[in-house]
Amino acid sequence: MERFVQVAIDGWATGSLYGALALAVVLIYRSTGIVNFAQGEMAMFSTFIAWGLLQAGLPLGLALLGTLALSFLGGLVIERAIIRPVEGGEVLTLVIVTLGLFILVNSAAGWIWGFGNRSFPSVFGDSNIDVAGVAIPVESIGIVAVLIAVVALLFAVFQRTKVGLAMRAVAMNPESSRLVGISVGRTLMIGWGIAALVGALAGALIAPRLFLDVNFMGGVLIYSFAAATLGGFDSPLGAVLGGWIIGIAEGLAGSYVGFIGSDLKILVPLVAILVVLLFRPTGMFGSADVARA
Amino acid sequence: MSLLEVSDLEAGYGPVTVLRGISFGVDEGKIVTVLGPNGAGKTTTLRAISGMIRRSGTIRFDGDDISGHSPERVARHQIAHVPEGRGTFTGLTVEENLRVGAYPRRERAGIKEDIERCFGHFPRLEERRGQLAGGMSGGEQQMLAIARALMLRPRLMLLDEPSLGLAPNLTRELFSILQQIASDEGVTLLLVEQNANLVLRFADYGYVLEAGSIVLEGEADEIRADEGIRRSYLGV
Repeated sequence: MERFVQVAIDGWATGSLYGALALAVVLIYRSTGIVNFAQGEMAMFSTFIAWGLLQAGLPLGLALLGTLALSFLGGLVIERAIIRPVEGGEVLTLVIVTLGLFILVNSAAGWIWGFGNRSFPSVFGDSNIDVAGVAIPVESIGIVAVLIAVVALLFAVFQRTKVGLAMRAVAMNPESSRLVGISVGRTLMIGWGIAALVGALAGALIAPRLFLDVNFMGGVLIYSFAAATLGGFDSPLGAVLGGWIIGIAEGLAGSYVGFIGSDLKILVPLVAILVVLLFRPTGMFGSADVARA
Repeated sequence: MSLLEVSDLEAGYGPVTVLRGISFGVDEGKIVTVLGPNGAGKTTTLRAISGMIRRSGTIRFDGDDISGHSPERVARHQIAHVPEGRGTFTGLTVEENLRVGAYPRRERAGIKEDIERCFGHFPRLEERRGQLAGGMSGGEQQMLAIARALMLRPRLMLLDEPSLGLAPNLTRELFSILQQIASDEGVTLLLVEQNANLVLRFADYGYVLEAGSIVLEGEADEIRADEGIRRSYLGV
C-alpha cells in the first residue's frame, strides 16, 4: 500500500509536469490553431538560460524569475519574427514552421551550450515529509502545487483582466476582434509569451528529475501531446487533468505491469493518443468545432 | 464637409475588383443607406471603410485620412462596424461581448454606465447578460451586435444588413431602435440593406449601387417615391 501511494503521488507530480507543458501547447493552439511542436525545445532553451544564470552566480529563485521573464520576451519575439509571417496559412505550412523552429532552437542550444548533460537543482530540495506513515518527497507536492497555482493564475488572467478577455475574443473571432479595436497581432504575441513562460516553468521543474541536455524535453513533449489530446486540445483544464491521468497511469503501469517496466513506459502516452483519437477525438473537454476558428 | 468622405474607392478580394471607384459622403447626424442587389458591392463598401480588405482611393473621417488604416485603428476613430453575420463572440457571455466592444476605452465607470444604457435599449439582453452569446437567437444576436458597437461610443456606425434573417415585425422593431439610437446618442448611421422598402422609410439619404458603381443617389423620400427607380434598380 505504501509503495502504491508513493508511486501514485510520484506519477501525479510527473503528470503535473506533462500537464504544464501541455498547458503551454494548448494556450497556443486555442488562440491560433497552431500546434507548436517546438514548445518542448523552447522550454529546454529556457532551462539552459536558467542554468546559465545559476552558473553566473545568481541564487536559484532569482535565476528562475529571470528565466521566466526572458522566456516571456522570447515568446513575443518568436511570434513576431517567425509565426506572424505565416499566420493564417495552410496547416501544413504551420506544422513545417514549428518543426523548423524545433530544429532551430535545438541546434542553437547545442551550439551555445554543447551536447553534454548537466545536473540541475530542484527548488524544492530532496527531503521527504511523512504523511500518515508514507514518505512523500517535498518536490512532488511542490510540483503539483505549482501547477495548480499556475492554472488558477491563468484562469484569473483570462476571466478577470482586459488582456485575458481580449485573448479569449481573438481566439473565438479574430475578425470581429479587430473591428472592436483589438490588435490581434499584439494579443497573439502575448499569448505566445505566456505559453513560453509556462513552458519554461515546466522545463525548470522537469530538469532536476532528468539530466539537462539539449534533447531532454523530447520525450516529455510526447507525454504532453498525449495529455493535451486526452484533455481535448483546446481545453487548459483538460490539459492538466490529462497530464495527471497520463502521469499516474504511466507510473502505475511501470511499477505494476510486469512486461512494461521502465523500458516500455513510453507506450502509455502513445496508446492514450491512439485510443482517444479512435474513440473520442475531441478528448474529455475539447470542443468539436474548434477547427472552424 | 461630410463626416465621412469617400472618393475613388476601389476595393476587392484577391485578384477580383468589386468596387470600381465610387465616391460618396455621409453627413454627420444622418442615416444614410446603400442599396443594391446581391453582389453589387454593398458589404465590400463597408469592409473597405473598415480596412478589412485591400482598397485604394481616399477615405476621410472627420478630416482625418484613414485610407490606409488597419481595422483596429479604424475602430479607434470611433467607427463601429456591425458586420455581416453579426460577429458574435459565441463563447463569451452577453456582458463580456459588451465589454469587448469597449476595448479601446479606458474609463471603467463610463463602460459600466454604457452597459446599463445598452440594456435600456435592449431589455432582452439584460435578461441574458450572464448567458453565452452563441446560444441566443438570430434576432438577439443582432441586438447584441448593435449594442456591442454602441459600447465603442461610436460617431459613425456601419451596419451590414441588420434585417437579414429576421422576421418582419422584429426588423421593424430593430429599425425603430436604431432610429432612436441615432437621435438620442447623435450617432451617424451608414447602413447597407437589401430590404429597400423598409430602410428608405427611415433613412435620410440613399445611394444605389450596381455592379460596383454608384448609379443613383438622392433623398430617401424621393427614391422611394420614384416608381421608375424602384422598378429598375431595387426590384420592388
